Amino acid sequence: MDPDLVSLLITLKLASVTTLALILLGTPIAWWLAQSQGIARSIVEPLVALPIVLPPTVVGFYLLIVFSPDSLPGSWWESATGTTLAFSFPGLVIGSIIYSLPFYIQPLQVSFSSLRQELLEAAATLGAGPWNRFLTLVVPLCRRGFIIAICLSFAHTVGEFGIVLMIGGNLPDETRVLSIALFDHVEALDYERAHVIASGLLVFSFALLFLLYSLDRKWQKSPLAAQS
Amino acid sequence: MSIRLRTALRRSEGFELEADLSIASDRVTALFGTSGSGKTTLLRMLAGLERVPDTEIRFGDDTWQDDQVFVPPEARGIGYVFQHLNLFPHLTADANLQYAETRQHRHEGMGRSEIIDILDIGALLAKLPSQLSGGEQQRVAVARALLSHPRLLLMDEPLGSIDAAAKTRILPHLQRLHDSLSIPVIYVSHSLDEILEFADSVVMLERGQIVSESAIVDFAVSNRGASQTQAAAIIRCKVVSHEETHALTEVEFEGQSMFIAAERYRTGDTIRVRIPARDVSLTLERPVGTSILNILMARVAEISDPGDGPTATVTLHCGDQALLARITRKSLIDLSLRPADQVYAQIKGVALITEHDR
Repeated sequence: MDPDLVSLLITLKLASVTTLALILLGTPIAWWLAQSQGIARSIVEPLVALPIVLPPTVVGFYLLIVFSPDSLPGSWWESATGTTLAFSFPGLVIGSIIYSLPFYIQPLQVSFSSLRQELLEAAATLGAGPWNRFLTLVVPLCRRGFIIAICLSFAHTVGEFGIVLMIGGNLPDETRVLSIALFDHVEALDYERAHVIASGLLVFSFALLFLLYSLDRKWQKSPLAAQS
Repeated sequence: MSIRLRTALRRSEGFELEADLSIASDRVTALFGTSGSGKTTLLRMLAGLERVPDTEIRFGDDTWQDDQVFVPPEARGIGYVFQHLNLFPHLTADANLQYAETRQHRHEGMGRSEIIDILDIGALLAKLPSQLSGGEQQRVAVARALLSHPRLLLMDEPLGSIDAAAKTRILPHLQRLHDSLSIPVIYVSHSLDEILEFADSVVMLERGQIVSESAIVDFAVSNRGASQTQAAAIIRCKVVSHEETHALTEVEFEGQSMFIAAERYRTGDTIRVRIPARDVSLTLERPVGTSILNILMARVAEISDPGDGPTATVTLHCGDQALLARITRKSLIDLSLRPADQVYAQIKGVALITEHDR
């Protein structure tokens, strides 16, 4: 198979797994942030936002240290799986989750905060338990927040470079994502192949944002706009 | 049926919520008080929407909250109508009703078609909440609460967020509902009119404490009667027919007939009417050739003669219900009225509670 095609598959797999993990992990964090006040929130909120301002290489550097077999998490992973986290696909997923976390949590947190609590209270008095309320009210009423969060974290994972370079390295069948492949082609002065990847990523990013904005405009006009 | 609530909630110096309510199973109990008196907090605690530590709540034999137990709102089997419009915005009125129907607290309760008919929401079912007026949304919200077949219906200022005109339109529906309900209702309001229209008994709250509990008839007399000129009786009548030509409605009151303006109500509806004591005069013979439309035969039950000043108040009995008449002390002597005398009460002003002059 064409190595660039392999990179494309790795990229899509990484973005999908990362987004899925963020839905499971980030949703409760966003909910908690939207509900809670006080000291815990004032610490967690900037912590979640850190990857926006921090150079990816800083995040990558610390992850590399945590992943090393000398550290507790690194050695635990090695004894459990027999492989190291650094320069592996699972390591890449962990890095991507941390790096894309704010892009998932922030739109969702805004959406959750604007949800009227009384609607959930009404559902409770009608006999709906917490999970039921989440699925029947929170998900449909905050669908705009969910879709923005999912699209942004997927696109952001596709576009990451610095962290992958630090913790993933450049293993052709394991960790070489499209942005790395592009970098390789440019270094090798293979501009023809570089153009294919660069223009592909450009079109993909534009198409995703175009879709997102037009969906958003449609929802602004819908009767639910005031709710979400 | 009794509801007990004891709590150590203190919001400020001198504010401590404590309530021990006993409520009849087919009656509307109004919680009445100024804002800050704790009535909404009390209601939210009963619903389980507010969890205040060191609180005990018992509903009949069930414990809803104590040191070990906290039953969440979804397991209490209650219905709650909020002050703010609170239909699920992404669901049609019909789907809002279905939400309640698929999660019913128990089997027995009013049926869907009966509820839709009483609240007259059949034509609204296909619409989204944003396409309905405030009054319409609140009618659907009441229907939704009832369709969950609650054991107790809690209403927190349900007419608080809709305008006066919509209020006048929604009240006949609530009245009709009142006659068909067989569960206890606790109705929070600071509007005297709403309470006089809808409640059977009134619990007055002040700074978290119950200061009085009274039946609505006594409440109307005592509260308005604080100043003698305002004293009024609240009576219940049944709508017999509408007289289109005179824009009047014939109602039946303890076997006698009266005419009032109440075209909003349906034949067979029970309505409440307010008769100010100052609008009632007394004669010993049935008067003829008078412009007064409503003349009722009644029996003198009690004469309250203050001993000085120009006027006295006479309580009259018509069947099981009472009227008040404010007459001069001179007339009292001229007619030589005594308890158990038969008299004719000429009633000048009869009005639906929500339509009287303020």
